[in-house]
Amino acid sequence: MSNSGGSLCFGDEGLKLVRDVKRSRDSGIFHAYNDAGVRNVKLEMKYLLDGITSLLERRAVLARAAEQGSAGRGGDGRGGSDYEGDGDAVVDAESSQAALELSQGCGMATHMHLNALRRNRRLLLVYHRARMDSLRDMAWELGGGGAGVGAVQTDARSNAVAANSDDDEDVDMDSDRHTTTTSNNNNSHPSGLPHNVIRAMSPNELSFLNSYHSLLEDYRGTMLDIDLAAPLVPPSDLFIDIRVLRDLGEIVTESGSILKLMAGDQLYVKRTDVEKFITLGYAVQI
Amino acid sequence: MADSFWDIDHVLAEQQKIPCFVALDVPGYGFLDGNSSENLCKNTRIELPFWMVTPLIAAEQVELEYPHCFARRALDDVATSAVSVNLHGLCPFFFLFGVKFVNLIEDANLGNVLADAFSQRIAEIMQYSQSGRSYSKFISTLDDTEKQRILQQDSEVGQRTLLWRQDPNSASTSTSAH
Repeated sequence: MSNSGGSLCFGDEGLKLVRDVKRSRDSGIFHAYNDAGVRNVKLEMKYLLDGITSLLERRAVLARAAEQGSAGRGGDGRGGSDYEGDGDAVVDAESSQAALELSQGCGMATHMHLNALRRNRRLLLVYHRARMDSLRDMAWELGGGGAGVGAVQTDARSNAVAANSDDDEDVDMDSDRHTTTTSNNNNSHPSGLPHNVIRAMSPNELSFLNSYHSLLEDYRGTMLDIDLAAPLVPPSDLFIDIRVLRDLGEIVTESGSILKLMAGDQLYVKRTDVEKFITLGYAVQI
Repeated sequence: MADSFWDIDHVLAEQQKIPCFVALDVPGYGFLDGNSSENLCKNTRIELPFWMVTPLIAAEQVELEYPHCFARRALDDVATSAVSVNLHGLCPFFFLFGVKFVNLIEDANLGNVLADAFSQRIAEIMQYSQSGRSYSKFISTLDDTEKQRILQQDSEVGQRTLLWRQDPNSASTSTSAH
């Protein structure tokens, strides 16, 4: 219903952005930054701002004309307005009335422009904030196993996949991370976010994420004995059943044995050995 | 208002259009009327989104009509049998928008109808979510607030209850961990 009514209106472009972010939140997929959309909204805002300036000027001119008309002088032609009388008193009064009304109309148009400007600002802010929030959440959720913590190394050598898992966010809540660290996968970002998320970000968002990540690392570094990234729900089992979704090759587990993970395998393994893969969506818990 | 500024649902709810009459000729807004003239004429009936209407109402520059989801006919339906009305079809943000609209116009009757409908429907939603039946058709008639906030929480609670019935101890620990 919201897009009924046919007529386009200011703010529609920005609304698309917010709709997009809602869809992305509902589906759990981090959508690509809509650069063109944001640019359009900015252009619209610039147009509105110019409109406000010219409307205000026009209004001032009209108001002056109306004032002069009602003062009975008329005919001055100041400001080049069409609404000046020709010296005839009646016409004068009428035209000044018209000028007054039109100036009020301009006032209303200015008001509407201003509302649209405010609306656009809000849409842009909401769009960016919502994206930022989900990035921040992901940084907490996936950024896990702080590189600063001297942890167990499960070596994810592996040509591990030109990372493109669609379900980056729907990592089940109980896929926990303790102090396990995989030495950073060549393909993923230091923050531990999957590649497709990184690609969906704007440059500004990327730099935000980088700074936020290092901030997070510093904060974690102050409390080495507590893993802040650990999930709040305790794991129910030490060992879990997993199904591997991608060829990951062989990994060396905590205990030193070698685990071979090929697509389609179902294994009963120690949770901490495979957590990273579950987080990244390369394996699922059954 | 301050809290809802960042809320995506509020942003979308405020996009709902409300029919209204402009009190003045407005230069440059002819496009709202659908014709190509430059000015929007006085007393034209146009549809403006809620966010545009609110400040204009305060300045008494427009006069409102009831949007079709709160028109007499729709409200009669809702008052008669709140449970069987397809609210999502009327307006996806029926209640959220309703609260905003009621505050705008101060219509006690509309407020009462909405409140009654909401409480009647909650009972029905609870029943559906607890029974675990397939209810996709029912869901499609729910307004956004009902779908997101209530139904999801309901079914979560339902699952926990189920767990608790099976094994009171384990369920209670997992609840407290949350």
